[in-house]
Amino acid sequence: MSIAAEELGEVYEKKVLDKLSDAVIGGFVKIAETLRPGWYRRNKSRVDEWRLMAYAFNRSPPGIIGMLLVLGFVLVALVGPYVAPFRYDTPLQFFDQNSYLAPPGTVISVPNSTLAQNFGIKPGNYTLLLGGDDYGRDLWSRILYGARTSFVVAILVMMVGPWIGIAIGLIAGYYGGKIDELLMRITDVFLAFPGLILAIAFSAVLPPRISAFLESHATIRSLLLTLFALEEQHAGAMAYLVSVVVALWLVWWPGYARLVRGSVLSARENLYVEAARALGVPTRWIMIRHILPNILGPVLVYLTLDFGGVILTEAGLSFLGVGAVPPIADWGRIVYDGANFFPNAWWLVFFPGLATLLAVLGFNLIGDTLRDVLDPKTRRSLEFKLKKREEVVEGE
Amino acid sequence: MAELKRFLIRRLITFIPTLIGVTFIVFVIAAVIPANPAKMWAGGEKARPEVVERIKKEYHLEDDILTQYYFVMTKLLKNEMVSPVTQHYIWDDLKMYFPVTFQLTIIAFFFIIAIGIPLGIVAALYRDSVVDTAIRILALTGVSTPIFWLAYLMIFLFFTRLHWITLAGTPTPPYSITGIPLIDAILKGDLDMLSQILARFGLPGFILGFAGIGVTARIVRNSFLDSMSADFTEYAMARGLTKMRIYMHVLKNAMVPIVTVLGLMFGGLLGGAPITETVFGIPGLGRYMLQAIRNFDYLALVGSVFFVALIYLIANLIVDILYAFIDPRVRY
Repeated sequence: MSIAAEELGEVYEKKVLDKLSDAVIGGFVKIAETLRPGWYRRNKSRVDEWRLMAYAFNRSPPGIIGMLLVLGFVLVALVGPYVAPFRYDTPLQFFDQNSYLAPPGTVISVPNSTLAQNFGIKPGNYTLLLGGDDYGRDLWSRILYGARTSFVVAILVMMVGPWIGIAIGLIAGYYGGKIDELLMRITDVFLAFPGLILAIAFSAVLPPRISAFLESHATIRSLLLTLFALEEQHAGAMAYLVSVVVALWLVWWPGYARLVRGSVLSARENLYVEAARALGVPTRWIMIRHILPNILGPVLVYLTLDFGGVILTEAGLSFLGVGAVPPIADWGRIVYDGANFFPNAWWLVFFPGLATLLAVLGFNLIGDTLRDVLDPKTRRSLEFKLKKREEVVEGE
Repeated sequence: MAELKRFLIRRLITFIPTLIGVTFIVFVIAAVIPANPAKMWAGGEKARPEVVERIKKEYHLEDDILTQYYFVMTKLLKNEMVSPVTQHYIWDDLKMYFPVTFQLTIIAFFFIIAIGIPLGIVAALYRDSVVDTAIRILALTGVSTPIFWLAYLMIFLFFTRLHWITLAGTPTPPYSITGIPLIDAILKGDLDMLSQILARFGLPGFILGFAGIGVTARIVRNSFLDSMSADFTEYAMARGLTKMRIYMHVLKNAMVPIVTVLGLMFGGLLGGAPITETVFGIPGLGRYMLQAIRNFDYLALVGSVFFVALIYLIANLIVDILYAFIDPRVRY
C-alpha cells in the first residue's frame, strides 16, 4: 500500500494550482446555487468533470506557460494604454532630436513648453526602454497600445466569424438534404479561396464604406474609439482597422461550418439522441440540448487556437499595408514602417514581432492542451488515479 | 480503371460550380464595392473624362453585373483580356509569375518533408518524453511565428552578417525544359545555376515552409502512434521482424492522413505567399495578387483567383487519387 501511495502521491498530490482552480469552481458553484437553489445537486457530475479538466490542465507545463502568456497579454491589453509612458502618437522628436530612431535605452529630455503641455508630458528626462521610431515615438508605449489593438480586433472577430460558421454547420447538419448540399457547396467555395488574399481584398475595398458608416453612427464610433483606446481625431484611421475586422468575419467561418456539420452528423447517431427521439423530444430541442453541448469540445479548441490565428493574420495584413494605418499602434504596422530602417533600427522589427509571437504562442499552447484535457480518456485515467489515491490514503 | 475514369469525370464536374462561385465572389468584392474603377485605371483624380468614357465602354462597366461578369470570364478564358493597369494579357502574366511561386513552393515543401516527417517519427517513438514535449512546443512555435518577423531575423543573419544569400533578381537559366528554373537546372545537372537559385530561393522557401514543418510533425506523430497500436504491428512484432521493418510498415499505414494534410498544404502554398514574397521581393503569384488589389485591377485579381482556386481543387483531386495507391482498400 505504501509503495502505491508514493507512486501516485508524487504526481497526483493536489498542487497549489489545483486548490486555486477548486476555489474558482467552488466560487462559481456558490453563485449558481444562490441564483438557482438546487443547481449544484442537478449539475454535480458536470462540476466534477470541470474539476478533473482543471486538474488535467494543471499537470501540463505547456498549458500553464500558455495560460501565463495569455494572462499577461490580456493584462497588457487592458491596462497598457493607461500605464504607457507616452501616447501612441506622441512625436518626441519635437522635444529632443535624439529620439529619432533612438536605440533602446536612450535617455531624452523634454523641456518645458506649451507643446509638451498640449501632449500632456511633464518636463524632465525619460528613458526610451525599447527605443524610438522615425517620428521619435516611444516604441515601448506603442507596443503596449498595440496589445490593445490586437486584442480588440481578435475579440471582435471571434465574437462573430466562427458563430456564423457554427450556425451554418448546425443548420446544414440539422436539416440535411438540399439545404445541406447548398450550404456545403458555398462553404467549399470559400475553402477553395486563398483566405489571406480574400481578406486582403475585403480590407482593401471596405474602408470608404466603413468610414461613411462610422461617420453617421456616432455612438458606435465613440464606443469603438474607447475600445481601441484611440483619440477622437483618429477615427478615420480606425475605419481601416474596422475593415479588417469585417473582412475577417467574412473569411473566418468556413472551417467551423465544416467541423460543426461533421460533428452534428455523427452526434446524431448516438444512443441518447435516439432515446430522446423515442421519448418524443422535439428535434430542435434535441439539437440544442443534446447535440450542441456534446460537439462544443472541438469547437472550443479551435476557438482558442484561432484567437491566436486572428492576431497573427491581423498582424500579417497590417504588415502588407492593408490593415492598420498610421498613427495607430499595431504590431504588424510597426514592423511594416520599421522595415525601411532595417537592419540599422532592428528594434522596430524585433520587439513588435516578438510580442506577436508570445501572444499567439500563448493561445496555441492553451488550445493544444485543451485538446488533451477535453479528451474523455485523459479525464477518466486521472479520475481513476485520484480515486485510487483516496483509497490508499484511507487504507493507511 | 473504368472506375477511376468515372470518378475523375464526376469530380471534374463539381469543379465548375466552385470555380464560378469563387470568381463571382471576387468579382463582386472587387468590381462592385469600390467606387468608379474606370477613373482609377485612367490615372485617378486627374483623369481626362474622355479616357474614362472609353475605358467604361471597353470594359462594359455600365452593363448590369451578370453581363459584366460573363464578359470578364469569357475574355479571360480566351486570353483576350488585357489588364487596364499593366497593359499585359492577364493569362500571360500568370504564366510568368506562377513558375516562380511553384519553385518557391517546391523548396518550402522539401523543408517540410525533410524536417517535419523525421521530427514526427522521433516524437512518436519517444512519446510523452522530454523529446516529445520539445517537438510539440517547437511545432506550436512554428505556427505562432509571424513570418515577416522570422524573415527579417533570417535576413539579418544570412544576408547582413554571413553574406550567404542574395536578395535581388531571379536567376533564370538560358535553356528551358519544363519552364521552372529549379527543375531545369536539376535536369541539366547545372550546379552553378542550381546554387544561384538556392542562394536566392532557399531561405524564402524555408520561411514559407516553417509553419508547415510543425503541422506535419504533429500529424505524423499522431497517425504514427495510431497505427503503432494496430493489430498488424503486434503481429509483426510477434513474427520477430526487426524494428526498422516494423516502422516501415507502420509508416506506410500512417500515410493516409499525412498525405491529406501535405496535399492541402501544397495547394495552399501554391496559392501564393504574399508575405514571404513581399519581404524577399520575389515576383510571384502572391505579390501579383497583392499588386492587383492595390491597383484596383480587379480583372487581374479575378484571373489569378480563378487560377489559384483551380490549383487548389486539382491538389485536392490528386490527394484523393493518391489514396488508392497508398491504401489498396480504397475504392472510388
